[in-house]
Amino acid sequence: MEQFTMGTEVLYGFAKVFGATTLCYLVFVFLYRTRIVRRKKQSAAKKEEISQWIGELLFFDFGEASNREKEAYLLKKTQLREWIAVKENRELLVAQMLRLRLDVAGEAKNTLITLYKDLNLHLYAVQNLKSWRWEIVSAAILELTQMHMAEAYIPIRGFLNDKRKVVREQAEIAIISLKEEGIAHYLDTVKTEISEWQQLKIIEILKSRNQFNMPNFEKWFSAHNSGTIMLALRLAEAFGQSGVSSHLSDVIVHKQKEIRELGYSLVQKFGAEEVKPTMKLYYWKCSGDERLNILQAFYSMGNHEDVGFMEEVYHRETSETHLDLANKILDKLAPNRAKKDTNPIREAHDRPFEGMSTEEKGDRPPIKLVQGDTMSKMGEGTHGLSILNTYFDQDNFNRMLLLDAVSKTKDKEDISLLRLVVAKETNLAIKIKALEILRSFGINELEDVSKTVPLHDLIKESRATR
Amino acid sequence: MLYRTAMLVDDDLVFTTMLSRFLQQKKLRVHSLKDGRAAKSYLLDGRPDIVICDVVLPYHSGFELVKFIRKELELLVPIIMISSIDSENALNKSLVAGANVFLPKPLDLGVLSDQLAHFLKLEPSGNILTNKM
Repeated sequence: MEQFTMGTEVLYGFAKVFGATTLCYLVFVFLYRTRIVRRKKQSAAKKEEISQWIGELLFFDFGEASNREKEAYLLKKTQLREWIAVKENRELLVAQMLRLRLDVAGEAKNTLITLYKDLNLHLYAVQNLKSWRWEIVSAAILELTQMHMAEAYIPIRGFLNDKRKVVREQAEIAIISLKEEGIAHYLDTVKTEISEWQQLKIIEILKSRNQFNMPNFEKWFSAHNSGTIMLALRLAEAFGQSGVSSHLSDVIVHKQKEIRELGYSLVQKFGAEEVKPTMKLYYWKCSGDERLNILQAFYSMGNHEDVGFMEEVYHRETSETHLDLANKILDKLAPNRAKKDTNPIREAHDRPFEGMSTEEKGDRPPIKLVQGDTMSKMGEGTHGLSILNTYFDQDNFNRMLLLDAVSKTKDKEDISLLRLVVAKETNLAIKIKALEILRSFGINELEDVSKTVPLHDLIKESRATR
Repeated sequence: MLYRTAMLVDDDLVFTTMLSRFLQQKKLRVHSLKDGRAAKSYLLDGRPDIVICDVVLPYHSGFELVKFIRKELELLVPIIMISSIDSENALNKSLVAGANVFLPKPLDLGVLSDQLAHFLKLEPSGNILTNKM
């Protein structure tokens, strides 16, 4: 019982504490809410006042106004200057002016910018550039950019390579927007990466300029910063600077893939004849994708002088896609010289899994084949040697496919290949397949196999013929 | 002298005040309203000579307001729609609803002035040529 009485007292104590806390909380919330509402009302009243002021100052016509009106105008301006000495008021005014700046164009916009400058609001913004807080600096740069304050160009320039990304990107936009020479300075000094989005924004800003004496962007094609090169290439493309053609040779052999790809698009766009020798030299050193780019460039701007190179590609190339394109280019450049591709092996490559079960198909890589016409050009007696070059590099599956292709066409010229297969093949199943095909030709290879020329001799001969 | 009246409907206070000032300079009496509902109730009694309204408004959109003017009130008053939604769709919708002109933001006041001159027969200086009877 005694314990119960004590417990009640404790509970009463707790209840009092919680009650008091709740009361304090409610009072706090009430006061805080009242304060917010009061501030909101004050802010709304101030906004209305500001709107009136802006409206009056914006459309005040000095020419038609009487002396009394002029005096009233000047008085209003002085009052406004005093009023904006308070930071809160100034921020409110700037926010409204920036908002209005987005809503109006033409003469009204110019007047608004003049008013902004008249009230020395740009000086406050420049002062904010010294803040250590990135959001204040960024907002100040944005404000100065939107109000076209060219005076702020020099102080903003200092933020070009700022380590804070938001500030840096804001400064980049500002530099390009504020002065015409900004883009050249930016490309000269930028050391950081330039995002794709930022590049697009920069191009958009420069394109929106009415009169823009653009620099020659090829100057930056050999810059150290890859972002600079990318942007310079995109700018040259956007402004149709076809004069950059002679400088694209370095770009298409640049170590960075994206730059090379952009370079090829410019080569095609401007029909850069000067780059052809580099592309021809570089072709055999580059990857498949780039080879396609080069071939596409030749497709769009090739002429009869490039037939030799294209024939070389046509003979040496091993990729189907590239061969098709090379064939098309040859058809275009020299229709009489290009030949139709009727190689059976290639046809088999188009349908490599025909007639096979799903299990047999498995997850195998496609066969790397040699173009059929190349073989036929190698002359009598060496037919099929190119196949041999690759045949013994293939796995068993692909070897079977090759033999399958040969069995379908039943070309007597393939007999030499089949004999070699019988002689050299180590896989019994494949060997049997080759024998069966030979039998279908009426040859019993078990008797004739000794007649076969050694493989390495044939390969040597083939290379010599080439 | 009797003034011509313009009904201005926009919820942006600064823009409305600025535009009101501009219209007043053109010797127009301006009824500035903040939302579609207030505009509708004003139109039940008032008859403005020109309506300038935003597309995005509280309660009723600008399109709804224009339809109300054209279909329910059957008024032939010139309507200029202003919007920051500068798209073909907004233009088509406003014209289908019954607006005479669609002006995108940022608004060039010179263009607005030309439209006012066209619809209200203002002289180049912006003053009204003929007073309302």
